[in-house]
Amino acid sequence: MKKNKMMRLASAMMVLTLMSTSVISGTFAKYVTSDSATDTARVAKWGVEVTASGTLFAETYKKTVNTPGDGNASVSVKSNGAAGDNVVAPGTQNDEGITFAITGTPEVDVQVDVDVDDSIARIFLASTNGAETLPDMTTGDDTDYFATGEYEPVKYTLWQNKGAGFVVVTDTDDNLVENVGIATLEEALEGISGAYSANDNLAKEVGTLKITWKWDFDDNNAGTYDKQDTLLGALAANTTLVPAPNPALVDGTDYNLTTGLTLTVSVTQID
Amino acid sequence: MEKQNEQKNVDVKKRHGWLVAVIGLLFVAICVTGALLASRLQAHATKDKDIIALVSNVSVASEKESENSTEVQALAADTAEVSENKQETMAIQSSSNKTVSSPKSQQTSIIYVEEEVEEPLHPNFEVQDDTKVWETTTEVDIFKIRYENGEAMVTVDGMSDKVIAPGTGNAYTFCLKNTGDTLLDYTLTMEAYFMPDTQPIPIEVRLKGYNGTYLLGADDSWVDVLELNTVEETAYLRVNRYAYYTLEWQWPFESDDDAYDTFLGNTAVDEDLTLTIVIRTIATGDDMTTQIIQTEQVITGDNGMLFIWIALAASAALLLVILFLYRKSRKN
Repeated sequence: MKKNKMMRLASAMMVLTLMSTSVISGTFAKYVTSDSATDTARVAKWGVEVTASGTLFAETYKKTVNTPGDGNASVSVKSNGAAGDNVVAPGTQNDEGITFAITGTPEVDVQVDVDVDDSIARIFLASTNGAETLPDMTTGDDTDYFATGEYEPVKYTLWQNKGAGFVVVTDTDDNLVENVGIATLEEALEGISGAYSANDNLAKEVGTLKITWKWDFDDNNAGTYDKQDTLLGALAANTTLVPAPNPALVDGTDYNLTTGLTLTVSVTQID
Repeated sequence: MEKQNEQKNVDVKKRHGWLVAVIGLLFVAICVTGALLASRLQAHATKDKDIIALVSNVSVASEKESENSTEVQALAADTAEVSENKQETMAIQSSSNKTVSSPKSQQTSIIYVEEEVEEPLHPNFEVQDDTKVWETTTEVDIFKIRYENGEAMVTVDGMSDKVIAPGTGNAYTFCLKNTGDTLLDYTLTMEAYFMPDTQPIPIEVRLKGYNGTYLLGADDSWVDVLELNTVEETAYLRVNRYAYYTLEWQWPFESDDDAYDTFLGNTAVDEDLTLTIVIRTIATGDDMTTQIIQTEQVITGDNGMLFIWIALAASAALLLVILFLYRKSRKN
C-alpha cells in the first residue's frame, strides 16, 4: 500500500511538473530592453584676480630724488600733520606710484571696469575771471597782484604693462596720458574699461596699470609757476596773505589744497 | 428421473430466456445502429437523388436505343421516328449531363475547425534624440561646450570640455518609439549627481512629458537638479507610437549668491566640479502571441462515424455466433 501511495504521489508530482512547464514557458516568453543616456559637464573656470600695490602719496619725501622714503636725513619734504597725513609740495613726485593688475583666463566673457570716484580732489589755483586778483607773495611788495589761469600743479602719468614693460598709455585720441591733470587721468582710466572674450588672458589683454605723479619744482629753472606755488604754500600754512586778495579767495572755488583719487577695478561676467 | 428431467427443462428454459434476452438486445442495437446510419446517409441520399435518377435514365436510354435499333433493322425508311428517338435519347442524355455536374459538387461536406496557434511577435523599442539613437549606454548632449547669448555671440567657451556657468542653460529633447508590432510598457527614470558631492552647483531643471504636462517644475517654476532622482514615469506605447520628453536646465545668471558662484568658478581653476545627468528607459512586451485560427476541412466520401459500421458488423457477427450456438444447444 505504501508503495502504491508513493507511486501515486510521485506520479502526481510528475504531472504537476509537466503542467507547470507550460506556465513557466509562458512567463519566459517576454521582451525586455533597456537604454540609457548620460552627460557630464564641469563648472567653467573663473580665476580672475585684481591686485593693487604701492602708494601714491607719503608723509615724507627724500632729499636727493624727492621721492617718498624714510629717514629724516634724506628727507626734503615732511608732513607736520597727524600720522598718515600725506603731503605734496613743489619738487615732490612718485615714480613708483600705485599699480593694479588684472590676471586670469576665465572661460566666460567678462567686463573690466575701472571707475574713478567722482569725488576726486585736485590741487588748483585760479584767479577770478582771469583778472589780477591774486597776491604775489614772491616780491615782498604789498601791492603786487597777479593773474593766472587754472593752475593744477600735480601732474599724473598712466602706464600699462602687457608683458613687454611699462609704456605710457594713449587715450582715445591717441594722446599720451603723461603729466596730465587728474580729470584727464580719470578719463584715461575709464577708457581701459571694456569687454573681453572667454578664454582671453587678462594679464595680456589688460595687464598691469601704474599711476605716477609729479609736482614740478621750477620748470627747468624757469620758475614759471613760482608765484602760484608760493601762494598755494601760504594758503596751506594759513599765512596772512599780503596784499590781501581782492576779492577774497574762496576755498574750493578759487583754490584747493588737497589731491587724491579713489578708483575701483572690477571684473564681471557678461551674460 | 422425472424430477431430473423437469430440472433439466427448467435449466434449458432459463438458458433459452437468457439467450432470447441477449438476442433481443443485439437486435435493438442493430436497429439503433441502422437508424443512426440511415440518418447519416439521408443527407447524402437527398443530394444523391439525381445520381439515382441518372442511373434510371441511363437504363431508359439503353432501352430506347435497343428499340431504335430494332426499328432501324425493321424499316430503314422510318428515319423520322429514328431521329425522334435519337433526339429523345439525346435529350435524355443532355439532361443527364446537367445532373451530373451538380450532384458532383454536393458529394462533399465542409466543416470549420478552430485551433490555437502560437505565433512570434517582433517587439522593438528605440530611444533617440535629434542626432543619434540611444544604445545601451550613450553619451548625449544635455550640456554644451559653448553657449551663445541672444545675439548669437559666444559668451561661454569650455574649449574642448562641456561646461556650465552662471547664465547657461539648454533644452534636451528625446523620443521613445515603438517600432515593433506589439504594445510595449516602458519606465523612464533619471539620476543626477555632483562630483565632488560636497560642492553642489545651483542648477535648476524642469521636465516636460509627452502630453505637455510637467513631471518636474512648471512653465513658471524650476526645481533643483537633484529632483531628477525622483523621476519615475511609467506608460505604454502602442505600435508605431512615440512619446517625446524635454529636459530643460539652467544656472540662473542673477542669483542671491554671487559670492558662491564666484567661489565655484575659482575652485574650478584647480579642481573639476562636475554635474552628471543620467536618463534610463526600460521597455517590456510579449514576444509570442496565441491566435485562434479557423480552417476549412472538406470531408469527402463518408468516412465519418466509421465506428457505426464497425458496430453493425460486430453486432451481426455476434448474432450469427449466438444463433449457431443456440441451434447446437437445441440439437443436443
